Amino acid sequence: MSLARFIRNALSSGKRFPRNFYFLNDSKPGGRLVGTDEFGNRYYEETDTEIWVRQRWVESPSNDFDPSTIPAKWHYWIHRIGDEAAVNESAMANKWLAKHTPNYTGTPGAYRSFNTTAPKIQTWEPMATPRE
Amino acid sequence: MAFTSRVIATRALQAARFGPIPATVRRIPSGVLGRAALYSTSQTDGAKKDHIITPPPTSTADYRKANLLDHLSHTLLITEIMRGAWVVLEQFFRPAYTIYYPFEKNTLSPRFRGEHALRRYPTGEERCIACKLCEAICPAQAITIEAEPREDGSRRTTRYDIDMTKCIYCGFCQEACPVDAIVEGPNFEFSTESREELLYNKEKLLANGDKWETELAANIQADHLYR
Repeated sequence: MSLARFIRNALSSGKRFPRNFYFLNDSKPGGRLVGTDEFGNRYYEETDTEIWVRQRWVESPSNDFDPSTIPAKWHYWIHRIGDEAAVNESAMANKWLAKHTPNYTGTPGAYRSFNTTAPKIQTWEPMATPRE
Repeated sequence: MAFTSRVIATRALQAARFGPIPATVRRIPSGVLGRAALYSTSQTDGAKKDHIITPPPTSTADYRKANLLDHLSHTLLITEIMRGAWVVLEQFFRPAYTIYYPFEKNTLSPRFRGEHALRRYPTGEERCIACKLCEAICPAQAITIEAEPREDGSRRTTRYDIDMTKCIYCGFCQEACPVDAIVEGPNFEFSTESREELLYNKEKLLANGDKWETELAANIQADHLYR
């Protein structure tokens, strides 16, 4: 890390600095708070001092951050497919849109595959004819 | 032409390695006959000696023998290691170019082919009409579809299974789909602990569609001019 950058970022990010330094192993500048999602993840942007691929980042309230908690809209933003205008527009606010769920693998909520059709093979049911 | 360029390249290489080439050597006549004339015995002995280039040291041992003092001083002062350590030290004081995943993420294309999803129309009606084109084109044969007429008479799938352990993420299914039903979404964070969780059925695929629809629609919108 650059020492000048480190000091500058430590001053500009203020109270958030120790946490960023611990989890990212690097200092991040203060940045502009773009928004917060339903999981409490906060999305920041700093375009002046950061190199272009590090300009957008997320700060999580959790100590064990799971990137699959980033909802689709913010996923769109943080991967730089589009800008925040698309995040805020509600044109696609269909009723049937589901709430975002993280990847539940390894927990009781994990997806279990099942058959969606009726079985086509009739199993043989052994029936003994009663002796006369 | 290829031959000429090769000769030029060889000469440039020789010039770089052994210094400027003597004028007599540089004036090599082109063509087979010209070269034959150059090496023919009709020339005098003095002229022939000009063409002999002293071979450079070809092995490390030869080089060491020729520059013994240099070699010993480099070995004693471990100059190579010190130079390497200096490069590391320089990098230490430069800003990092590493992306700190998962807090920072790399750019993604709207065409990124990740986890599959089945989409719906804005009304909530599922798009898939069970034409089975995706099943037919799938090179890994990962898709299994069964279909029946629904109660209202429309044809819909009863089974839409994708074996994600077979899938090669080629994107042929979404290319084949006439109604944009099956798409490969932007999500790549769907790793699982067991193989069983990767056997996706229709419910899982529709749930993926409901979850990612905002981004799926935006990506298709971004790419529609090229389709």
